[in-house]
Amino acid sequence: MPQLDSNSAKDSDAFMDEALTHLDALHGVACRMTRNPTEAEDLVQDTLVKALRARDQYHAGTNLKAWLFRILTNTFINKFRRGGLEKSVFDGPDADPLADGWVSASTMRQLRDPEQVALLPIIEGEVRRALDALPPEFRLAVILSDVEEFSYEEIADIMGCPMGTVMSRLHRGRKILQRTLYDHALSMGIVKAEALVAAEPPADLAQFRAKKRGAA
Amino acid sequence: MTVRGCRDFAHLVGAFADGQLEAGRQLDVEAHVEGCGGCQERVKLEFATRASLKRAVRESASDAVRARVTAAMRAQTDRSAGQVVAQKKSAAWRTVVPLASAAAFALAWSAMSRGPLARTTATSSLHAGFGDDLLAELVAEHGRPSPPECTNPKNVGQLEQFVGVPVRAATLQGQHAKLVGGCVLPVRRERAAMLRYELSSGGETRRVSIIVFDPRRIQVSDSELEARPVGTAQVRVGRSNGYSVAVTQRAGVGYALASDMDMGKTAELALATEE
Repeated sequence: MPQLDSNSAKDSDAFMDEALTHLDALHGVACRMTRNPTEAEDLVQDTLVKALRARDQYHAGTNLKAWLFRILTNTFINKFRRGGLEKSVFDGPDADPLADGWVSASTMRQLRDPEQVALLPIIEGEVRRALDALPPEFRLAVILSDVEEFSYEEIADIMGCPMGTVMSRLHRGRKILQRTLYDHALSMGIVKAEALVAAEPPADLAQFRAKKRGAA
Repeated sequence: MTVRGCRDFAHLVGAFADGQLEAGRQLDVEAHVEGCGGCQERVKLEFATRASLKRAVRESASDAVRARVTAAMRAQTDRSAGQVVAQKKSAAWRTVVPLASAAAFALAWSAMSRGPLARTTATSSLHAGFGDDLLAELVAEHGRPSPPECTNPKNVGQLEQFVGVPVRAATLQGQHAKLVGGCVLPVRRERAAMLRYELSSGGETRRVSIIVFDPRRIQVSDSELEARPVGTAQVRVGRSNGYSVAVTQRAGVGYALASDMDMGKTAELALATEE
């Protein structure tokens, strides 16, 4: 039986300690990607065990966090989305009132809290639900950028797609998110309805997908 | 500033707020935003969305998750070093296989029970923990649950005929415990009942697996556990593969629990297994 080499054990311990400093981030993202606490735990555990096994491929001094998220993303795709993340985002012009400025500045102001610069009237659960409703490729891009603050270049590397795709996924993802939250604010009476220009965008995911399929 | 101008910049506002545009572009957008109240609002809304997302998503991993992941990583280190902890257990488990195919058992549960092969696989995947068969199986089952044979709390009592002691769906201190399912679990040459629950509190779901067994037929070698008094009762607790484990006996019935929660909580639940 091979003896446990004390140097490699020390390396492994150091790697483990450093990798575990990113546990909270990995776990938070895994929870939002799987939308299931048990699956999220499995995903995080698989990711970190894989990372440990492949730690020779990691170059010390480079971005460990981005490397771990790449493993997490690949593990997620292999486990939950056999077909991979969807390559294209839906075509057509930005028929979105928030994106195109059909909603007035004052409505946009009402959507957020001027003191805290957050969406004050909208509770955290609602933000989480809106996020969960996003297609996974948008959701992942938005979380990696807005929560984990990766650069577009890092996100492209983690998701294995070109930078242009990252920008596009982020833009669409955030718009759908803001639209969902706007609709929620509307139904709560937090903002007043404005006359929207014709050519309504699909508001929910099913319609969005149907439209996308139809276009393909 | 015309609406047309805003439309030209609308798709860049997010990247601008992220500071991720190439320098020339960044300056173009900045020049437009400075002179456009609508786009200033748009940038602020981008920031607000980001701040809210941070609040909604950031949640730290619980101690139980941390312990579980750490244990799995340690086990991987051990495996790489050629120290396969579970090896000695696989031989003992092969003796269980003929029992699992016993005719009566197969008739009663054939529709959904797993084959003996699957059980062997689950056991060999256990990489760190107890030498005791019952506890090793408990932890393996908790980590990789097999499909339930019955999911209705009312039918759980039927497991009694296989196990020899009363089996009831517990309310577990009334903590919104939901029975996920139950099945018969062969342990050495005996059988026990395996019940799985999910407890939800504060939006979090925690899993608890409970083995109900006849302590006269199945002994738990609990040398790897420590005694922990809970009220007037004695519970033995330990930790394996990142899960906490508790064993207790009441009214001639043995209970072994594995959960994603901490040891104290698991010990408390062990005393709430009856009703």
